[in-house]
Amino acid sequence: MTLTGRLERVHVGMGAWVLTTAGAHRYELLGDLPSAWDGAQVTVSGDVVQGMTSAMVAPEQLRVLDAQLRS
Amino acid sequence: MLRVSAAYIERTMRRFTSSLLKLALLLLAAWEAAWPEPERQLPEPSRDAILAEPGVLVVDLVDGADESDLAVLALKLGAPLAWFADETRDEALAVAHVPDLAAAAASLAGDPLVEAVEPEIQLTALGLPNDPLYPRQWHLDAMGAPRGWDETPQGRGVVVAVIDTGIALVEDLDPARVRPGISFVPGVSSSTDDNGHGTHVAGTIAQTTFNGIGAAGVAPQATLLPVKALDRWGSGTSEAIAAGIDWAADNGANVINLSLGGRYSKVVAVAADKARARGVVVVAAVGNSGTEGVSYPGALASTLGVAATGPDGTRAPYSSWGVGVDLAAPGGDTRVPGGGVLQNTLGEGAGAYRELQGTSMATPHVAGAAAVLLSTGACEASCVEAALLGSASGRAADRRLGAGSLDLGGALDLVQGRASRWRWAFGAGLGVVLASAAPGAVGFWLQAALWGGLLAGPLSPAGAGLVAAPSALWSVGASGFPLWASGLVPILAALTLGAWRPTRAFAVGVCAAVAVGLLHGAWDGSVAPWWMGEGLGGAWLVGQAVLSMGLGLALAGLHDLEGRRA
Repeated sequence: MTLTGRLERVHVGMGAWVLTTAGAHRYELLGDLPSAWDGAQVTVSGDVVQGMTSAMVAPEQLRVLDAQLRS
Repeated sequence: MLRVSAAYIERTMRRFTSSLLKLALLLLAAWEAAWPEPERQLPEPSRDAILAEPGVLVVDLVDGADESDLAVLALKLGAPLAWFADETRDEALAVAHVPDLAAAAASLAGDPLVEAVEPEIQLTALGLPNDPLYPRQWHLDAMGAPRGWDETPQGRGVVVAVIDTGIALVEDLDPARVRPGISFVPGVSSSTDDNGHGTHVAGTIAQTTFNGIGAAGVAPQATLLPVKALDRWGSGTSEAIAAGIDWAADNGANVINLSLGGRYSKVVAVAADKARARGVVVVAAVGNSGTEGVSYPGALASTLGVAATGPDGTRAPYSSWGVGVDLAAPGGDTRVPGGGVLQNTLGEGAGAYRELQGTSMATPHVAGAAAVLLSTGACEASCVEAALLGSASGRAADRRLGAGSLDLGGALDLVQGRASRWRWAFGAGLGVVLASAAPGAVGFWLQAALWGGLLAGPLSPAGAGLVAAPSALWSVGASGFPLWASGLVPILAALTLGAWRPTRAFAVGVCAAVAVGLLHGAWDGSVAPWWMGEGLGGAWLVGQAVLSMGLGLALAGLHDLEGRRA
């Protein structure tokens, strides 16, 4: 699945990435992303999972395989 | 017609009274074993030798000592000696700066003007940790952790499973209190932490405390059981978490901490329900969405769902709310300087201390509190949950905090009060039962012995003695026997059992039972003091009943007073 939206660093627990799509759907991103991308528009591809997390910031998670900044 | 020999009756009665006494002793022994009173012993005084070094010498002169006495001692000491404070001159406490404490103390030892002499001792506030980062751990004070450190075994003997990203043996976790754990993360065999979240959570529960290093934890003597169910990104599957809950319950966990959440999962719900049914306290975070809607497993009925508060005690902005929030605990607010929850975790070396926020951080405060309550031995899982919820404060301020904010001190009050009430009720009930049964048993024995003696006649020395006893004594049976028709038994009980705190409730029960028996006897005439007429006997019985009840009330008052002083 590929998603596009605004990336946000949420400071709960050890910190979490949340992607909010244009449709206001929130996904917690599981993966290492550059901290400089906080607040940026990104396109992310990966596998959607519905497990449980320590961050608990969104009901669905996307295990990130690839991520790119949108200009 | 049934024919029963006198010897048979006597044997039977002896067995009956013997059994009754044995039962009483057994019940008393069981009562004592079940609720041993804490020993209150004075600590051994320090026997450290006084060092031959400069310092402040404290001299307590005899009461009434004046300036001339002070001058005499100063001369003997070879150093200026001054009153410590004018406001306490009547205590005659003086201090001197001396070059050699040992020599100075020796010079005044045994002097008739001196009550005590010793080097100045620096005292610190009782029970507060010496961990250098403790002053920054506002969250521990906010939930009442100091009461747990002061008044309980601090979680000793309680196993807390942390189902999380694992636990790393950082510098401020005692390896002896971290059991070998397990990993349910595919491809990861070790239960050590590769994220930092689980180690931080474990620190809140049982960071080594009073060790002069790092930070403190809520239940520093609890044993941690690491269960790695979340990967290095803090994510895990429902089957890994369910397996972790099952494994923890199977491996001796008394408390399970779940600082995690997500969508509803049937397998996780079943595992949590089973663990709770086995007497495990299951504590789970309610989520960090900052909106209405509680994440699972925190929303389950079998878990205590924990919301988060900031340093000001109000709901933290990220904390989810709604049905499933049971109570709140400090989760931190990092927008406020120093407002996070501070514990040892992964970072640069083993000595990394990080302030984090989240319902993940609030949850272990509750898990630690549960461990503290369980370690008192006065409470099991359902009682712990009831105490935590019943003592939570601030519900009226914000219903989104469930029952309110965690208050360990209040929960301890509830648990200790409950144990005390049960112990008291059991002891008093035992006293009532035995005091009620004893007159009948003794009277039955006496009457049987009398009949045995009559039947045996002069052939039996015992029988002859009984027959020769004053007939008035036996003719009234047990009900009129002076022992039971007076406050003698309550007086004896008060002087013996009532003097000892563990058996005082029993004595109160005896007093109450005898008082009620005497009043009932006076009312229906079933008890008649053998040496008095009917009118005087009734007044006597009422007076003795009042005496007995008064003794019981006095004992209860004494018990309450001692409890308050303690």
